Amino acid sequence: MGGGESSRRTERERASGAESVARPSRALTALTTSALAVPGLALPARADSPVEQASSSYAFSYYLEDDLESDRLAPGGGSRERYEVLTHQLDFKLPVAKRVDVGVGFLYEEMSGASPWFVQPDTTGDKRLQVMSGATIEDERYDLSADLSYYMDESKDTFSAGFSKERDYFSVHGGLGTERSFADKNTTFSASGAFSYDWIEPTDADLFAERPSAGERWSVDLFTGLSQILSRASAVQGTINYKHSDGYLSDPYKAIRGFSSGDTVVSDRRPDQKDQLSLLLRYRHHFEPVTGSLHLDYRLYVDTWAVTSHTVELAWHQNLFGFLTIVPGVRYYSQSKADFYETLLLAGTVESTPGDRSSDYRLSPYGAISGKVKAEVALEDVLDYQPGGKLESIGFTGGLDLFVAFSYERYFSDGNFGLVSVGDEDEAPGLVNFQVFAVTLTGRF
Amino acid sequence: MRIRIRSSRLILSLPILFALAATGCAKVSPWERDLLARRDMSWEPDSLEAKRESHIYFSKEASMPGGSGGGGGCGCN
Repeated sequence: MGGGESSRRTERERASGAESVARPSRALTALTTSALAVPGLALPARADSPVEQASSSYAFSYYLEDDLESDRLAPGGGSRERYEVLTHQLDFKLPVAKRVDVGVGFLYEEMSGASPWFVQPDTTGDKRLQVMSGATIEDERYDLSADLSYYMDESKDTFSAGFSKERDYFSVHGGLGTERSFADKNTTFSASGAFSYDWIEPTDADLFAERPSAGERWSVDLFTGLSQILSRASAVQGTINYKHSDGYLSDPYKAIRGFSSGDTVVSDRRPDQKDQLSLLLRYRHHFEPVTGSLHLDYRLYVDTWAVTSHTVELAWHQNLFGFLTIVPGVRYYSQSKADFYETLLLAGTVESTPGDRSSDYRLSPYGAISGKVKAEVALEDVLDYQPGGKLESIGFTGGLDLFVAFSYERYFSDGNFGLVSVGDEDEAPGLVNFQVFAVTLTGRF
Repeated sequence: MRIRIRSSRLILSLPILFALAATGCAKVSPWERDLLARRDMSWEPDSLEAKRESHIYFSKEASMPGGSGGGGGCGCN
């Protein structure tokens, strides 16, 4: 073991020295990464140098929605219990050659619960009440994605691809991205393009006349971004995403009804095209005297369905005793409604087969506030071992560092939380509150 | 395209302002980047967490994720 430790220390020292002098690009690892909103191009948080050590992360999370409030549920409107999701994630990152590294990610999750179906008025006609899906939905999702990156001295090119499968849904995606650094790597430009193809086969299509038996859509996603070091302790990043989607964009499990008691319920129907544009600005600042880092993110989003949204996220990463990091964070979100969103259709419009319509709470005007706290413990050098030749060639250096993290998030949404006031006739009774518990275990080998 | 013109112009003009501002920054040498290299200074310190959150917000809100990839999936219900 001694020889292994020795060679490992040498490797560590080499890497450590490189970090400050010979390989300055290591210092940019976290800073020049383009954060891509494209499913096919979700580059990991690293930049223009290959990873030096193999690493693997496993996370388990439990997502739980609050029960629908009893005064928002329509009489006979189904179960108040909403969604819960159990998720397992597993990632690997390996340096497979001097200039090449690969990442592979698996995901498996189980979903169950009831979901909002359509809205109806109460007896006075003033208040909106939610009708939930009749049966408890049970589904599972598998997701596999991989990326391969090739590095040059001032650049990085990435290819990525993956798919996601549910009982009633299949999605495949792929993309290409590039990063170029300038000004001694103080500035990094990134750009990418990706496509995705989605296919849906709604369950129980034979039970609902208006529910399609199948639908498909494709999307093209373009991205560009710029990262800039501002000082020895601060950096800023700006990114723009444009996405065009074409095909079946409705939700087959949502419906809308007319205002009058005799009105029938008709299916959710959305435009078959959508253009989305988002701008994300991110700022990072480290305060050396207190060993803490500030994260500030702002996102502006607009689309051709008339939704505009603003998102602000603020987090503080406080390091304690060298091995513990506590991260409190808050997030604020506000969106306007889609131009075809209504809780109920006006009298008579059901019969006249109106155009696009949806009562989906996710297209309603509202705001959301969430808070999160995370604690991470870093346990370095917990195990020494002798890697074989093959393992050594893919980044196994002879030592094991462990990182264990616990996090909790609480999310509340409400029509009154938005930037613009919302009338009773527009506020969706199905707006969701949820919480997420998560534990993550990361090994660096 | 029916995207609101004012918002679109704002989104498209900000990178130019961003680039102009960046030209005024002091250059930081490679050996001065120890703080910038810290894990807690990365854009996304925890990639699994970023993917998970992105997928949740994608499923529950109307907006397109602005950060890391949301991954596939219906996002229905």
